[in-house]
Order: sequence, then structure tokens, then C-alpha cells
Amino acid sequence: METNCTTHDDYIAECDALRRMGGRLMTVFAEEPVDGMYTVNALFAGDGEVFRVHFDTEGDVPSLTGIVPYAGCHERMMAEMSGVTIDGAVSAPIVYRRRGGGHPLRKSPCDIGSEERIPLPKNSTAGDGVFEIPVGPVHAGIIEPGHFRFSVAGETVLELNPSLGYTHRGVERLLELPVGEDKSRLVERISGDTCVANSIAYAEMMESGSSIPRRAVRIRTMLAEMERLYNHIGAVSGICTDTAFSVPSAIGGGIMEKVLRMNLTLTHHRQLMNAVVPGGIRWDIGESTLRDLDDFLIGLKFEVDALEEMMMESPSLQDRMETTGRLEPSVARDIGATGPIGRASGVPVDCRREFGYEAYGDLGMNMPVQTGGDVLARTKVRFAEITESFSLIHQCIQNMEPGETRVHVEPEDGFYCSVVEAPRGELVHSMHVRDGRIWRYHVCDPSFRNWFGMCHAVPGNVVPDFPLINKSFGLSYSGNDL
Amino acid sequence: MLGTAFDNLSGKGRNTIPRDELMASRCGMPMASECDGCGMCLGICPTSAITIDDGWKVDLGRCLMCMDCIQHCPKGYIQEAPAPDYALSREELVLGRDYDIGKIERRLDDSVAKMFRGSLAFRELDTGSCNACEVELNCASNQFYDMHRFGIKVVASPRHADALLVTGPMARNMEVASEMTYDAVPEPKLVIASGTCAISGGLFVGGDVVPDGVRRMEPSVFIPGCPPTPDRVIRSLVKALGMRR
Repeated sequence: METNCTTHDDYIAECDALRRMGGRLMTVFAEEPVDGMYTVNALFAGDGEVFRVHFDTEGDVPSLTGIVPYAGCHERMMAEMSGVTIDGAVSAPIVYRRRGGGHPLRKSPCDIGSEERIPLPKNSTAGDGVFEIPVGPVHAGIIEPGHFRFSVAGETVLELNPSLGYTHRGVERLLELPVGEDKSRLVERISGDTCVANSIAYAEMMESGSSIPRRAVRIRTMLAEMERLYNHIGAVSGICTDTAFSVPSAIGGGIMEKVLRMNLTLTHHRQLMNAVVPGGIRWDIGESTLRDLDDFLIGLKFEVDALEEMMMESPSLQDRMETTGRLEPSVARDIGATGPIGRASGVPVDCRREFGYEAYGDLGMNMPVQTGGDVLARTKVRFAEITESFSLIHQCIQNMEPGETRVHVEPEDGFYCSVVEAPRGELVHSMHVRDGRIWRYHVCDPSFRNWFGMCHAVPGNVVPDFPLINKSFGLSYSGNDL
Repeated sequence: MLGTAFDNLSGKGRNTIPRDELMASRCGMPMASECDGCGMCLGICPTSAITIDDGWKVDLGRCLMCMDCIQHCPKGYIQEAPAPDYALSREELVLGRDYDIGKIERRLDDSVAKMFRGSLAFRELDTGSCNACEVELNCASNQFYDMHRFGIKVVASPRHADALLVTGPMARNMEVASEMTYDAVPEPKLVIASGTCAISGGLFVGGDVVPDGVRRMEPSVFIPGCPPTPDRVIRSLVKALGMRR
């Protein structure tokens, strides 16, 4: 559903009405239909439907922060990327763009090559004995780049501000192509460990209006759950690594490796890349492989249960996890935390249930919710979701139907949006096709808002707990920076 | 012991899946047995890795190993072929039909290899990759691959490193930080370009990236793959430095 607003007040009133009816703001972004004019789109989700509120402006956009507190982060991104000005304070603490004077998403050529560097924001906490610890962008482990600034008094963190944008590669801009060109290879690489979710979101938009073979849909659902499986197992074994709990850490690494090798058998790629394409899947998966997968998962279930028992029954690990990195439910709601992080803080949202996309509408699933909001709650949610994934994959295999796996699709002009529950949470893709060309492609990664969750969860904890909290959030840098 | 470990890695020992399956992860490369020059693959390849002007050639530095060309070749001339794990120069990654893996997988010059072959401490530098390379590199330390047994380890600071293992297409925003990291590694140093993005920019050419950014660091070892699997990374380092003795 969409509403076109003509004035600023209309736009605010319409968004407010949607929120009052229980709508959830998913993303706000701007596109540039003609040079110097912008269309601002606010996408809301409610009752399994997407509502689009849009209005045209010459560059000034009223802020929605009065209605939805976390709108500020989307507006900041919009201001930095598209060059609009936000009326009212831009309250978000994260800066995305690090270098270059222009706005990367402007249609007119901009001076992205300039050497200008935006100064890193300073923390506001100051006083006697308060020190600032700058970390990054190149970190000590094998992880992606990002800059963090801690203000500490003694060991306790008082303030944390991340500066992101280091992995900005201009993906949204690269996708502005004739709509017939299959760019699923690029979409997969928005975030290399969320490639199935990203490519499903891309494919769903390309396929709107066409009917996709049921076999392809089930296999895609299965692959999406395999992706969730290895991400969650990687996250929980990472928690053991960061607490120096070596044995479960090694066991978790082993389980993850087994899942990755299973992925290799299924799609010829360990991260499940190159599998999902608009119109279906690239390669069918044989019946015997599916049976092997079913058997494999039964064996894996025992290993995961053993790992969970080892983690949950160790008093020293419990001590590290309990009350560490608490994201209060009220804060989680205000910042719009999504995915396992939201569900661990009592935000019961799961796009698989809400939208029933792909085959999820036909499958039975539970939604594990915790209210603790600490590292322990997030770990419990992840373990519960691993069990759910086992069940979902099993249901997909049991209900597999023979038939085609790929059809030809070509979308018409219009505005498309798809919402997918990625391993990290709600992933929104939307595109505007004009004259057979993608005019604007927008991606909102689940990590985008969850980064703010981390800003709220870390203060009050000691510095050595930061890696643990970071791992329990398990956020993506490249998906956020695009 | 290293010999046993190496055999373990290639599938002869226990704790590994059968050799074929492990090999499949590294041999994913298209190669045309014959070619009538219809040019279908040129339009299909997402990174324009294929050229046919001078005989059918594939540039492994760009190839995503997605096998789209195999699927679309109307005559079925393109087949999966064994790929070299690494090369010591960018040019050697462009493979014609007469490629010879043995010649491509050479050892680094002894004057270089001798300094690092006993042990190699590398620092991973992400210049804007999609995190798939990082997932795979983390896996290289799990008990299936355990690269420590070859003396290869990851260190926390460039100051402690012998080598920089670079992933990602050098996003413009990472350029300064990457230069600083490179400068911080003490001499003598080695640069390893790992993954399609680091070698050629991959799919991100044309975006806010500096496609030849990593090449300015003069890498000595190029490991193709999107992402390179852990076994491939380990095999490349072990072979290039002559660690197996």
C-alpha cells in the first residue's frame, strides 16, 4: 500500500497514523527522480504488509524522530548519502561516510575522489580520570574494519561511539542498471555471510507477479535456514572464544565447519553463494543429497545439544554472560532492535512469521523470545533458533515436491519492496524501476539499527567485556556500509 | 609430522572428508576444451573474466568460480577444470588452454622464502571485503585445518607481522588505514592478496573502490577464489614458501 503526501505535515501525520495503528518503521530513504528533487520514502510494516509513505521535496526533510525514535539513524544515513537536509536534530551517533566530499548516491557526478576527510566525532563524556580509547579501523582479530571510541573511567566504559563506513563500496549505486541484468552475484556479496537472505530479497522483488516453482521455493527456504545455522553456531562458538572457554569454542568451530561442508555439497559453495537467482535456483539438489542432509542434521543436533549443555552448565561462563551487555527491552524497542538481538530483549518480531515469504507461510515454527537482554539471553535465543532451523529444514525436505526449479522473470516498472529475516534480523530491499531501469536500489541491513543497540549495551561494562558483547551482537560491517 | 599434517589436509588422513569433496572446493575453475568463439560466455561472466580474442582465456584474478559460463555455453565446451591454488604474479593468473599448474605454483625466490618458511606470522587486513573471506580465514584455525601446525599464525598487530594478508577491493574509505597498516609492518615483509576482490576489485569495480589499491602494495602471492577456501589459503602459503620439507 502506498500514500503520496504533498506537505511536510501530511507526511508526519501519515507516519504517525501508521505508527498508532501498530506499524513498524523499517527504513527511510531518498531517491532523486530529477536533479535537485528528492522523493523521500518511509516504509512501514504492519499485519504482514508493507506500507509506503512518500513525498517530494527539494531537499529538506522533516524528521520522524518525534514519532519513531530510531528514525534518526535512517535520516542521518539519508543525509550523508543522498545529500538531503533534515529539519530538526540528527540525533544518530554513528557517522557513515569517512572520506570524500560528495554524496555517493547523488545522480549528478560528485567529487567522491576528493581527499577531504570528515573528522571523527569526539565523545561527549569528559572529566577527571576519563580516558578515551580509540580502536580500529584495523582490529586485532580477523574481522571487518570499523572505528570505536570508548570513554572509560578505570575499567568501566562510560560511552561508546562507533564510526562506520570503512567498507563502503557503493553497492546501491552499482545496482542502478537495466532491470533485466541479473545482479544476484553482486547482491550476495553485500554481506558475504548473509548471501542467501540478500539474494532471496533481491529475487523476490524481481519475481513479484510471477509464480515460482514450489520446489525452488522450498530449496531456497532450506538454504536460508542453513545460512542461519552456520551464522548462529559461529556466533555461539565465538562467545566461547572470547571468554577463553577453549573446548566448546573448538567444538563450535568444528560444528560450523561441518555445516559449511554440507553447504559445499548442496550448492558447490561453502557460503551458499551463486545458488539463488531471480526465478528460482541455479542448480537443483538431488533427492539423495536431501536425504543425506536430513541424516546429517539429526547427527548435528546431538552435537549442538552437547555444546549447549557444556555452555549452559559452566558456572564461570554463566558468570561472564549474565547481566553483561544488557540491552533493556524499552531501549530495544526505541532503537528498533531486530532479529535475535531484538528477540533477546523482548521484541517479538520475526519477519518469517510476519510476512510468510518463500515457504515460511506453510511451515510451523516457534519464535523464541527472552527478556533478559544480556549476552546470556542472546545466546539462548540463538540456540533456540538453531533448533528451529533444524525443524524448518526437516519440514522443507519432507514436503519437497518434484518439478521445475527455474523460470524466466522480468519485472515491470514500479516500486518494489521485500522483507526477509536474515540471520541477523530484518533485511529490507527495495527498488524503484523506471523505464526498464533500476532507478534506485535501497538496502537496509539488520545490523544498521542493531549497531545502536550496541552503543546502549556496552556502557556500564568493563572494557574486557566489549569483545564478548560485540560477538553476542554479531553485527555486519559490510552490510551496514554497503 | 608436517608431511602427515599435509596429507591430512588433502584427505589421506582421518578427520577429513573424502579427497574428492575437498578437492572440489579448490578445483572450481571453468576451462574450454574447444571453442568456436560464439562469445556467449563473455556476456554471461559477471566480472568479465573471460577473453576469446587470443584463444579462450580465463582470468582467475577476476573469476568468481560461479560456473555461470559452464551453464550457459550452448555447445557445452566449457568444463570444470583443476585450478592452480595461487600464482606469484598477476599475469600468471590469466590462463589459456595450455596452462600448467606445476609451472604456476612455483616457490617464492629462496632469498624471500627462507626468511618466512620456518614460521609465518600474518596480519589480516580487510580493505572492504564482504566478510566471506574473514569467515573462511577464521575457519583456517579450526581443528579441521589448524594452520598453526605449519607454523602459520595470525597476529594481533601489524608490528608483529611478517606478512599482510589482504582481502577486499580496497574501499576508498579504507585507503588511508590500509597504507598505515602496510607501513607499520616491519621489513622484510610479504604481501599476500587473497580473494578476487583483492586481486582485481572483483564485482566492485566501478563502485567507491580503488581497484588497483591492493596491487600498489606489490603482493608476492595471489590467491584466487571468492572467497578462497581455508584449505586453499593454507596450501598456497605452504607451497609458496616451501614449508613442506
